[in-house]
Amino acid sequence: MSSAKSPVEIEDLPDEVLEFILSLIPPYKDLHDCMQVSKRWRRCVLNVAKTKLRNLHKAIAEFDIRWETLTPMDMAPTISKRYSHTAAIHENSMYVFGGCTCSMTTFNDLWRLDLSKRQWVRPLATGTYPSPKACSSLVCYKDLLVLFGGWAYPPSYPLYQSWHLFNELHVYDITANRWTCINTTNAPPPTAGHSVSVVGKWMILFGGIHKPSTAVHCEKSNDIWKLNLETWTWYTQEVENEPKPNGRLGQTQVVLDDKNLLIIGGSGGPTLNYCDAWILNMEGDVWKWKQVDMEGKVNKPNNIWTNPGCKIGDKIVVLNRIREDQTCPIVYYPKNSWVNRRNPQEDSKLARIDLASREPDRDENVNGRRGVLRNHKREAEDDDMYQPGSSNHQRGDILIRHCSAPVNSLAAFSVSNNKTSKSDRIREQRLARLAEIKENMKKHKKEEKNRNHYLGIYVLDLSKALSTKPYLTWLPPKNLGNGPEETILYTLLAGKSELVMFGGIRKDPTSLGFAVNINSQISNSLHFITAPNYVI
Amino acid sequence: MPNIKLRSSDGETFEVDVEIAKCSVTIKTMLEDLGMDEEEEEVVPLPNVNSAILKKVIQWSTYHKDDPPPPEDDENKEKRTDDISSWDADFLKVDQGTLFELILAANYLDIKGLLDVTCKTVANMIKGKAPEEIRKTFNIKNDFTASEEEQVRKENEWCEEK
Repeated sequence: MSSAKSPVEIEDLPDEVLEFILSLIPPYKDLHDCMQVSKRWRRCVLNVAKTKLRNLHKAIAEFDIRWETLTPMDMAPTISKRYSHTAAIHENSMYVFGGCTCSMTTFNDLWRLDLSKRQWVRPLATGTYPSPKACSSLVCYKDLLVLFGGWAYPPSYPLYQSWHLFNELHVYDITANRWTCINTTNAPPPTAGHSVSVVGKWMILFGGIHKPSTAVHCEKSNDIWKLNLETWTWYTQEVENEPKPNGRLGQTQVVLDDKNLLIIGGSGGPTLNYCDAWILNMEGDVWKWKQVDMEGKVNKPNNIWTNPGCKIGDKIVVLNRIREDQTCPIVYYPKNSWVNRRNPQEDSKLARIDLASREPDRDENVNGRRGVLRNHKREAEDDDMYQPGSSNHQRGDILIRHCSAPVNSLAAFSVSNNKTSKSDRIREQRLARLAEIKENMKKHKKEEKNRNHYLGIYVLDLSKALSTKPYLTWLPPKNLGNGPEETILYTLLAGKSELVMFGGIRKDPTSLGFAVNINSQISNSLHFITAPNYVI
Repeated sequence: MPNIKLRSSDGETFEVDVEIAKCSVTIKTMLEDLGMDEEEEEVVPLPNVNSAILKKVIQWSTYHKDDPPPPEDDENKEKRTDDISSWDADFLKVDQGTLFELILAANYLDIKGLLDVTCKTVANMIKGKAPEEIRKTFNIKNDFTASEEEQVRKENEWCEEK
């Protein structure tokens, strides 16, 4: 094969080896440069790109994805932590605008993530900057980024102002690195939490929370607006009156083809989270909504408004908390093994143990506050609780399942300090029992970590969305690789053969606004969802 | 330690530990399929690998013989090109000809670890270079016409999500 005379060159490698090498090149500018090297290289790059994309589609359909996390410490100048920001991908970059923190701050900075180098750059743009805001929309049209609407905290003085909604329209010219504020007539009312898509030269806007000039309060909208991206003119779009989705914000909106849009989910109010799906047909002068059936509802995620979806191929990927019953499928505790055997007297104590030990991980004062309380209780209950015997065996299990480590070490402490015990023998037995529990604790430590919630993917199949009897299907989850800790109000976009998730707030959406010190929960991490590795 | 003899394309014979030779899936399969016995003193011919390269391959395999075997479908992380160990980096400080011959040998002998690390090395040489620089680095002939090249340069939907 290789003659001793002329040295072997890269051109002597077989295609599959060259393709393997090219598969190791980031699929952005670097790989695009490779495509221009020669005809053979172009062919190989196209093969690699196709295979990578196919692998990602397959990985998503089979729930066999890889998570890669980039923590901001790795990258020198970096974007600050935020949520409810907006983002768009243009060629080799992801642009992120605005967003907010929990402490009355909204941003108007623009950042660019170089997707091949995985580096943050802050372009110092000229022109007229947008207002600091969150929940706005950013889309890419040609070499322009189009930013509309949004929301900001009220100024702190004078007091009692309501928060502020925007209807400003800004365009960021990527090549000129310049923001332009565009004054339009007939603009939509100030809006935030809406959804937009680019279809041809139109930006189609739906819903959000808005404040029409005639209204005193903000309302959820189900209006459709369209913006001509060549002339920058807004139009209200006439839509058939019935049926129509209810007004909402935070929905996921995707383009099915140049005539049809799909929206799913969204929020209609504090306790009203939609999981429905609607197709908007954009043919003719009067557009038409149609509600679409969803199959596989048992597999649907719990909320599709704080967790935006992302279209990839003929699927929508939504990240949501991995269901409890799916986090640790290996270890299973049959519930009735202890429920049935405990006596009523013990029952009340069990309830107390549960209450005291169930919630502690979010509270930073867990050692101090709860520890003292538990200590008293432990002394009082000590005697009947730790009698050796089979009934107490279950109690040990309960402890292991519900207590976090600090609580248990305190329990151990109070028992060994208890000088009122009747005999050494009993005490020894107790200690032996504790040692046993401790051993079990160690064993189950890993398991306890699962009490934090993690994100996993939920997949909605759109392949039948445009058939004569349209329906969508939530695919049954198969394989649940753990994603990052549960996060909401991040952005999720499709890069080249990967999905990119950025920012957000680590928080249970049901208790938003009730916790102190949640700024530490805001993220500026990047998470990439990719397919398993390329195999030669 | 049982040894085995490998003969390179130019007729040189190398005696190596069987376990080391089995880093190569090709040799391992050969031994199993042919039921070659360790005592039989048989020589495995490797007509696609010359002695200089075979020597390097043996050197690499000897150093990595105690590595954990690569998992069937690889680890849970994305393949990175910046995780080449310093020993491998030193080992691969060779001219391009040798590097590509090593790749061919690793491919032919089916030594996954060596193929990974050599291909990563080449990928690192490609990354960050303009097309013309890549051609220059690897002595590749540009077979595009000027207009074709312009067209490819503008080809934006090569990896698009449709």
